[in-house]
Amino acid sequence: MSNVGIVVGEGSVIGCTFYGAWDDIGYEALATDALAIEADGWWSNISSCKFTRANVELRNTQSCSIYSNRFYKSDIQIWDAVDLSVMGNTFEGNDNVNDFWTARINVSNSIDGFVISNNALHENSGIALNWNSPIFLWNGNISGNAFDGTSNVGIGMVGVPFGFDYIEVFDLNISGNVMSDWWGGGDMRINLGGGNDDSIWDLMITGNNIEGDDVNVVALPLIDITSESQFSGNITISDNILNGYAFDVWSVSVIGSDSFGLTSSRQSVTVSNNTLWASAGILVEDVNFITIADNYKPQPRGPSWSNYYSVRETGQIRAIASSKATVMNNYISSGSRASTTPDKAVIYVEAYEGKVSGNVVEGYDSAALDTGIIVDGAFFVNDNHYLGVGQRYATSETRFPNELVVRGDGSTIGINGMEVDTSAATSTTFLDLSETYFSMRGALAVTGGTLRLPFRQDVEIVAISAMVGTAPTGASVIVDVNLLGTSIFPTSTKPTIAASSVDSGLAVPDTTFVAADEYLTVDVDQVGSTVAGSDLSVLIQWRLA
Amino acid sequence: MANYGINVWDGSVENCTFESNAGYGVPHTAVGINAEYNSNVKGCMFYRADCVLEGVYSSSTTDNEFYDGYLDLKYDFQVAVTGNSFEGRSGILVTGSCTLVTVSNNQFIECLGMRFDWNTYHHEFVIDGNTFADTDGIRMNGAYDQTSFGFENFAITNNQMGGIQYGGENKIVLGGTDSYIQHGIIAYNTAAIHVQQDASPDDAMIDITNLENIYDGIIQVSDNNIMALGNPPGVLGIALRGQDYDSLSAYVTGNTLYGTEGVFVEGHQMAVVSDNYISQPPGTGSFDADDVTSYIRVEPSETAIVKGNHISSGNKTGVHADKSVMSITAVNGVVRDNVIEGNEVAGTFGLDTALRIDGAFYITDNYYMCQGTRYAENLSPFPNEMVVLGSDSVLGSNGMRVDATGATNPVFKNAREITFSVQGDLSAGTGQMRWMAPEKMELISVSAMVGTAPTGAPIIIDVTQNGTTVFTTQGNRPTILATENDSGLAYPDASQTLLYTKSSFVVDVDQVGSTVAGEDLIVTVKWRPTDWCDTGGT
Repeated sequence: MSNVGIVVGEGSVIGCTFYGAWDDIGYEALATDALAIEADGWWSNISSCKFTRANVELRNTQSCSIYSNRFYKSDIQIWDAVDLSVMGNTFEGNDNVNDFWTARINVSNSIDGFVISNNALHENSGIALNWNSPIFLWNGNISGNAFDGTSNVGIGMVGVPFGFDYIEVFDLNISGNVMSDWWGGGDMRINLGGGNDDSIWDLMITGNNIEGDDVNVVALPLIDITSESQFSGNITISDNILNGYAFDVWSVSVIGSDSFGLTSSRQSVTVSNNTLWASAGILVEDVNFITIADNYKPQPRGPSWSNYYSVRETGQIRAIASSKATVMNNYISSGSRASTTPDKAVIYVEAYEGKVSGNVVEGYDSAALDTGIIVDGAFFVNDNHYLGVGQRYATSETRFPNELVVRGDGSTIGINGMEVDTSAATSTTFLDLSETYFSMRGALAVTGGTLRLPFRQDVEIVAISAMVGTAPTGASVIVDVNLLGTSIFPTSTKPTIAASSVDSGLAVPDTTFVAADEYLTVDVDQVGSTVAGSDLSVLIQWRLA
Repeated sequence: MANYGINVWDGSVENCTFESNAGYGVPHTAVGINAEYNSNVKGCMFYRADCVLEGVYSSSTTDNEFYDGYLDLKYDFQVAVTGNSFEGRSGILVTGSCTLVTVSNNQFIECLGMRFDWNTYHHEFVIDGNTFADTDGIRMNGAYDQTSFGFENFAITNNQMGGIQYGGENKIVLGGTDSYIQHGIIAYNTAAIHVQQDASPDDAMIDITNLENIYDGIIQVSDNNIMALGNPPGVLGIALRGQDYDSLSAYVTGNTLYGTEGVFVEGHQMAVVSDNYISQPPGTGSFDADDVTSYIRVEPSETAIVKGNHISSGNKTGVHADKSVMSITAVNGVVRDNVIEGNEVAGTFGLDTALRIDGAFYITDNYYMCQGTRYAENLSPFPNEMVVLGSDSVLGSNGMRVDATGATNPVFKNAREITFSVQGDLSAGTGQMRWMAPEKMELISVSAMVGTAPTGAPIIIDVTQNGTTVFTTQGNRPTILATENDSGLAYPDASQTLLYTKSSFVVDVDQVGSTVAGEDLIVTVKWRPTDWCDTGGT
C-alpha cells in the first residue's frame, strides 16, 4: 500500500499485511505516516495483521478490539475510543537515532473503558500520552505488558503541554507490567500529569516491575505523578519493585497541588509495600493526606562492590507540606551520595499532624545526610529505630549525629530506638517518662545530699521540680541536684520555690545525661528566711537514653 | 501429517489442525509448525504435535489449542503467547534464551505447565493471568544439571494454580546452583497442592534458588495465596535461597499460607518477611489428622526485617534443630509485631520455642498466643517463648517471656525501676520496705547504694516475694562491701523472677556493717511488665 489503506466500521480486518514504504530511507523522505487502517464507529476488530511503517487510527470507535498483531515501526493512534481492548500485540520501533520510527500506542484524546494488556513493546515504543490536546483515561486497565529497549517511553506523557492541555485520569489500574531499560536508554517509567489543569481520580499502580536507565542518566522518577493545578481522589502505589539502577532518581514521586490541605481538596496518596533498589527513595508533597508505609529500600553494595555502586545511593522518604501524614513501618538504608534536600534527613515528614512509627533507618554521617528522622508538626512518634550495629558500614563510618529530631508543637513521643532531639519542639509529651522522688520531712535545713540515687542504665533527665508542704517566707527555697557530686544546674536556674509559694515548677538542667551506675544527690541550698519551708519533695523526671 | 508440518518464516499460520499418528500417551516427535522470524500462529489445533518457535522475532501465538502437544520457545525475542489452552502431555517448554515475552491468559489443564531448560537466560518475562489446573506449575525442566540459569526482570502475577482434583505439583520452582534470578516480582498468584505427592519437606510451592553470587537485586514475593492440602510431610510455602548475602535482597510480604511449613529465606543481603499469615488446618479436620508444623526461618543474612506476621504452628515433628516456630539469624535487623501460636511438641525435633533471634536486633511488640481454644488442654505452651542470642539487641515491650541469658548487652526499653530509701543509720531487720506488684511482672535486678559506706563488714540486702527470697542462692544477694557505696547489680534466681499481680514484695536489710554501719540506703529494683503462658497466679 502507499498512504491509504482500509477504513473499517462494524467490521473486521484479519490476517492482512500492510507496508507503508519499501525501506526506511526512502520513506523518511516522504515524511508522512502511512495510514493502514482507520477504524471508525462500532464493533471493529483488527487481528493477526502485520503493520510495517503503517499506522492504525481509531476515531470515535466503540467496542473495538486489536489483538495479536505485529506493529513494526507502526503506531496505534487513538483519538477517541469507548470500550477498547488492545491485547497480545507486539510493537517494535527502531533503535537507530537517525530513524524516527516509533511503534507506540498513542493516546491523543480519550479512552473510556479499556484494556491494554499482554503486549510486548520494544524500542522506541510504549504507551504514549501525547500533549497535543486534553487527554482522558477513564475506567481502564493496563496490565501484563512487557516493555524494553531504547527510546521506549514506558507509560507516560510525551511532548510538552501547552495552552490548556491537561490529563484526566479516572479509575485507572496499572498492574503487573515489566518495564526494563536493560538495553539502555529510554524513559522507562510511569509518568502521568504535569499539565495545566490535571485531574487524577482513583489511580492504582500495583505489582509492576520497573527498572530504570542503566546507561544514560535520565534523572526522572520511575513512577512520576504530577498534578500541580488540580487533583482529587485517591492514588495508590503499592507492591511494585522499583530499580533505579545507578542513578539518583526518585522511585516514586507524587506532587499535588494542595499544600497543607489548604485548598480543601480530597487529595490522598498511599505508597505502600514497594521495594526500592538504588534510588533516591520516595517523595510525596503538597497532598492533603499522605500514607507511606511498609516500603523497603536496601542498599546496594558500597565501594568494594562494582562500578555501578562505587558511590552508595542516597535513599530518603520525604512527605512534605501535607495536612495529615502517616509514615510507618518503612525500612530505608541510605548511602553517601549527595542529596539535594536541605534538611539532610533519611526520613523527613512535614505536616500539620500525623503518625511516624515503626520505621527503621540506617546510614552513616556524611556530607549528604546527618539525620535519621526529622518530624515537623504535631505527630505521634513511636517505635522508630536506628539500625547502626553490624557490618553493613565500615567501622570508620560514624553514626548520624542527629537520630530523631522533632520540631513543631504538640508531638507525643513513645519509645524509640533512637536518640531524640526535641530542642526545637514545643509542648512535647514523652510517653516513656519515669519519675523518682526524694522527700525530706519536717523543717528544711541547708544541707548537702547524702542519699544517692543510682541509675542502672543510661538515662536522660528531662526536668526536676520541688514542692513543699509549708511555704517559705522572706526568701525562696532553692534545691540543687548533683551528678556524682557536681551540680547539673551550673547555668540554668535551679528548682526554686518562691517565698509564700509551695511549687517550683519544672526546671530543665544543663546536664541531662546520666550513665549507668552513676548517681544523683539532692542538696538544699536555701530554705527561706523568716520561715523555713518544710516537708520537701523533689521530683526527678527521666527516661531511658 | 507425519512428523513434519509447516515451516514458516515471516508469515502466519491460522486455523489449521495438526495431528500426528503417535499413539495415545506415547511420546511423539511430530512438529506441527516450526516458526521463525516474524511469524504468527493463531487458532490452530495441535494434537500430539508440537509448535516450535525458534528464533521468532516480534510475533504472537494466540488462541491455539494444544492437546498432547507442546509449545516450544527457543531463542525468541518479543513474543506474546496469549489465550492458548494446553492439556495432556502438553505445556510450554522454554528451551532457548528468550527476551521480552508475555505469557498471559492461557489455560493449562492436567499438563506439565511451563518448564524452563537449564542453561537458558531470560530477560523481561511476564507470566500473567494464566490458569494452571492440576499441572506441575512453572518450574525447571528436570533437576539441577550443573549448568546455569538466568531470569531477570520478570513478573509472575495473577496466575491461578490449583491441584485439587487430580494432583500436580502446581509450584513455581526456578533456579538452582549457578543461577541468577534478580529483579523479579511474584505477586497475586493463588496456588493449591496435594501434599501427599511431595515427599521432601525442603520443597516449596514458590521456590527460588539463587546461588550465583556475582549478581544483585531484589526478589519480591507478595500477596500470594498458597494452600497445601493433605497430611505429612508437608512443603514449605515460600523459599528464597541465596548464597552470598552481600548482593541479593528478598522481600516476602502479604502472603497467605495455609497448611504449609511456612517461609524460608537464607543468604540474602536483606531479608524482609512481613505481614504474612500462616494459618493452621484444624487438628481434627477432614484433611489433617495432625497439624502441620510451620515456621518462618531466616538463616544467615546481613539484615533481617521480620514483622507483622501471624504464624500458627502444629504438633507435627519439625526438622530443624533449633526447635523454633520463628527463627531469625542475621547480623542485625528488626523483629516486631509478630504473633505466634503453637504448643510444645515432644520428640527429637519437636518444637519448644516460639521465637528465636540471633544477632543485633530491635525486638518489640511480638506476642505469643497460647490461651485460646485452638489446642487441646493436654498440650502445653512452649517452655521458651522468646530466646534472644547475640549482642546489642534492644527490646521493647513484648507479650512474651524473654530469655536473654544467652545474649550480650541486651537493652530492655520497657524496664522500670522502683526505689526504696532509708535515711540515716541502717539497722538490720526484715520487712523494712514493702511493695505490691501492680501487674504481672518479671524481676531483672536488685541493687543498693549508700551515702556512707559500712566498715568492718558489708551491707547485705534481701528481697522476698510472698515470704520467699528471690535469691535462692543467698550468696547472690545485693552486697555493699566494707568501705564501698555500691552493690552493683544482683540477679534473682531464674525460678523466682516472675511476679503476679498483687504479689507481696519485701526488702530486708540482713546486715549493716560492723565497725561502722552504713547510712542513707537506696535499694533499686529493676523490673519489666511481661506476659507468659500459664494460668497461675491471680
